[in-house]
Amino acid sequence: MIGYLVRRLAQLIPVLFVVSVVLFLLLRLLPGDPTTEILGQEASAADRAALRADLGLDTPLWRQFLDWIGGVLTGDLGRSWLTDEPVAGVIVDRLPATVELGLIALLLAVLIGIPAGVLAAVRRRTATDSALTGLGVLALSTPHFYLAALLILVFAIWLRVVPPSGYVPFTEDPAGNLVRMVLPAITVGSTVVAVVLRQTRGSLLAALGEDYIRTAEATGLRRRRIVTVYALRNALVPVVTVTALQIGALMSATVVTETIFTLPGMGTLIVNGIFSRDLPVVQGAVLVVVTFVLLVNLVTDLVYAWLDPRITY
Amino acid sequence: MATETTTTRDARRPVLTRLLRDRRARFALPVLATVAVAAVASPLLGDRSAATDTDRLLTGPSARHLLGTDELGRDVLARIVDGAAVTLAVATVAVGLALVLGTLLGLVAGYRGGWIDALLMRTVDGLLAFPLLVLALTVVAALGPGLRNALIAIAVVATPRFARVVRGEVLSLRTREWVSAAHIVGVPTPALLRRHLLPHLAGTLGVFAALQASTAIIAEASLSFLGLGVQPPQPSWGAMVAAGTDHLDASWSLSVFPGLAILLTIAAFNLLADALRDAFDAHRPDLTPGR
Repeated sequence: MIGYLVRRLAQLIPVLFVVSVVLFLLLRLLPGDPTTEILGQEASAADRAALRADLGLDTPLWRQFLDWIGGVLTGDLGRSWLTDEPVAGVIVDRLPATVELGLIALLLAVLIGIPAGVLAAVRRRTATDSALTGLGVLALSTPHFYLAALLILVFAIWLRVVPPSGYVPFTEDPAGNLVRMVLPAITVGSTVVAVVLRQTRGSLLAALGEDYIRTAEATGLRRRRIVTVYALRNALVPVVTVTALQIGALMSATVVTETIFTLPGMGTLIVNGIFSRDLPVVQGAVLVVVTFVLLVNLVTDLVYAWLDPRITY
Repeated sequence: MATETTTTRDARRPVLTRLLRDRRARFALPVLATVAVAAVASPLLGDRSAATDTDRLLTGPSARHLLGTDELGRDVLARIVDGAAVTLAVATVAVGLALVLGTLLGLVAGYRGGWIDALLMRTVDGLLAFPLLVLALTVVAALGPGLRNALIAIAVVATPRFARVVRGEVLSLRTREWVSAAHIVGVPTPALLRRHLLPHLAGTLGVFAALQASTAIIAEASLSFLGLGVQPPQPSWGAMVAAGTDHLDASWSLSVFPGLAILLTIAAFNLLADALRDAFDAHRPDLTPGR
């Protein structure tokens, strides 16, 4: 297991290297002069040159890359071109909203998706099964921004049970925070619910066909106990994996969802950074998101190995 | 026993016949055909979508404007018909580009192996580590907003996915007898890839392309929704939903109908993918034991 962990960590290095090269090149090769973005059109040539030197833009590209990577490795993601704040600090400020949104969405997905998947599997080929599976397809076919618009329309404008958008930190007003998180969390969680439902249904049906279930049935155990204790326990292993692998999709969903509900998270940070051409912020935020996704995938593999004793590495 | 005979008989039918008998395909194909016809025919309707009816701003559905009007008094139905062109471009141009590039890279990586494979696949791993929309946003950040750049961004996002799938298929196909035989009798590599490997990828690529089309349409709609895709006044379904969310309290229909168009198209591509998978799989019962 330790050997496997070391090997998997070592595999992360080339991937992270490619990620940083892609990110660096994409955002450094863009046309236009960044000093114009920062100083405006009327700045003098001397001011521009000074700023270029200050930002390190007068050095060769490989040198700029090494400087950036060197900074990243020591926790220095550079400074915002717009506000001159350290990017790392800005990201730390934005993390709570995104993490909270992601966790509530995941919780909703598991609390709804697993029971729904079990129900669909147990009632296989009935109207209940078709309805649940159909809802799953519908959820997977609905873009997040559209679901968000529909939820705002129904619950914030027609029924007026929640505010349409906005954010209060949990530490300041827990109730107000959660009320404002409900619609965004449903939006982000909608696709994950569908994935969890599909996977739970599929793997539970597979588990129910195993020999040990027939043995359990032969011993006269109750159906409910067979499903929940014997079959579900094994069926949930792939569900855990598939749910965790949704983390990338979850991050894509939060970008759009945070924008429509005006939540101050990583998604709005990236989108606003693109609009204001604040490249260090975009670069830093995207790098943090990608690294996080890669680490979650790694942990998922380890948990999978731990949950299923048949797997040896 | 009876089912077995039907399955065998069914398996001999051409893919298209089996596809047309599938309930999912019977829903998906007319929806997609409508989108295609709307996209091609909308220029023939003239600039109906740009015409403003200034007496009727943000109205709901009526006899005069079947799906209502937007904040400038433009007809929502006409704009949805016009916006179909963008969706069609995403599904054909962006996904087509990714299909060609990704297939090429996957073929080379899978068949050649060695350092080329290692280099290509590490790059693919790196690109796949980005959440889809985040990579698309990063590309748009570099290139600037607009339809052309959104199409490029989506092609960039989808290419490594095609490469990964094709490489996996090639790895399992290259050890087959007919490939070894072709290699031994001296068929040049490009011809071998084109004639002896590519045809066997058709099923997988068809299913995958349909799935990617649905993902790509969501991505483009999301970019346009965020204001980074298609720029006004050109209509796109994502941007129309975005405009509608600013006026939700005045007009419910402005967001709802363009969104419905997106939803139907995506569902159609998803169901088409499922139907295609089943239609192709019946040809290869060895690949799906237990079905």
